[in-house]
Amino acid sequence: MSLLEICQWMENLDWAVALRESQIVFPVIEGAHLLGLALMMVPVLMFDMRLLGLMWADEPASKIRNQFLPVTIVGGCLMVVTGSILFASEAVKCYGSNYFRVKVLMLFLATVNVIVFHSTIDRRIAEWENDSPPPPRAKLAGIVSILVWTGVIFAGRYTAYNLF
Amino acid sequence: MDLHAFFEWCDTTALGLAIRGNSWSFPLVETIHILAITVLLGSILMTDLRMLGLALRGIPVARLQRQLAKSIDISLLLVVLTGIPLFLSEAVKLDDNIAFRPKIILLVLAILFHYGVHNRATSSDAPAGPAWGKLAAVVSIVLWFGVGAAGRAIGFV
Repeated sequence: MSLLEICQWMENLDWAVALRESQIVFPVIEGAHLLGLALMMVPVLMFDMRLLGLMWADEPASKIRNQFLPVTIVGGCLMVVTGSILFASEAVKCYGSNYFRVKVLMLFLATVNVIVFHSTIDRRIAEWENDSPPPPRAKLAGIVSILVWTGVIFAGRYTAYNLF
Repeated sequence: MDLHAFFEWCDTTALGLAIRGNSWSFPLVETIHILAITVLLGSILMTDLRMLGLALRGIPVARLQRQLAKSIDISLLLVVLTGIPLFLSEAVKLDDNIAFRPKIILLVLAILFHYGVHNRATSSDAPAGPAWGKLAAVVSIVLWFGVGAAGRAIGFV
């Protein structure tokens, strides 16, 4: 089964059809998707700014991470659950959208950034967390995070416009 | 001048016409509008969750507010600055949209509440905010969610 066939199958599931045609449920789930985004983005941004040394610079980086991470996870879960449901209801449209492909690529890059950060720089956080300015690699992780998440939001919004 | 005449005039402004004149500027401005809303809503929610004791308990509420105040002010300014051209580009259409006026009324209430009441709660010396901070947090969440819901509805009703 090709990727397109999987998308067609998904989109034709009874609940996916019902959701696509719903005047109320679709906008509500889309709103929840944006709420999840807000709940996730701001804590991520706060930690990125700490990695860059631009905010919270007088607090240890691990404290800022630990304080904001639970909110990020709640927001992220809400976004993944609502995003999967929204995707299923418009799978073929997403498949054909270049913007959606950019969004998936950006999400992939964001995930790689998180994995690289947590398996390298974050492991030795105790060694550098009070350094001012923070080490270049921490700053790089912060900048990459801000850029790819901005890209995810742009590509995500543009997916809905049917521009090309 | 009645309000509808004003909306019709808005529709003919140079800025409104410029946004409407091509296919790329509305999506671009609207995406920046949404990006700013995300930061605004997320930042205010952080202080509300803190006052409700649901998150960020290791950071005193006044310290959180001092750090977030700038991102709240800048993102709100950006929301308004991008919202005006979006409005000008389809003012008459929005006047006919039943969700638009509730959104603007809720937005004005939310802004007044934020700077008039909410900021007073979040500048409290008490680490978790004043006793009435929880109530302020709930009102804040209701108002901003209301703005968001009405704004979301504009695209669907």
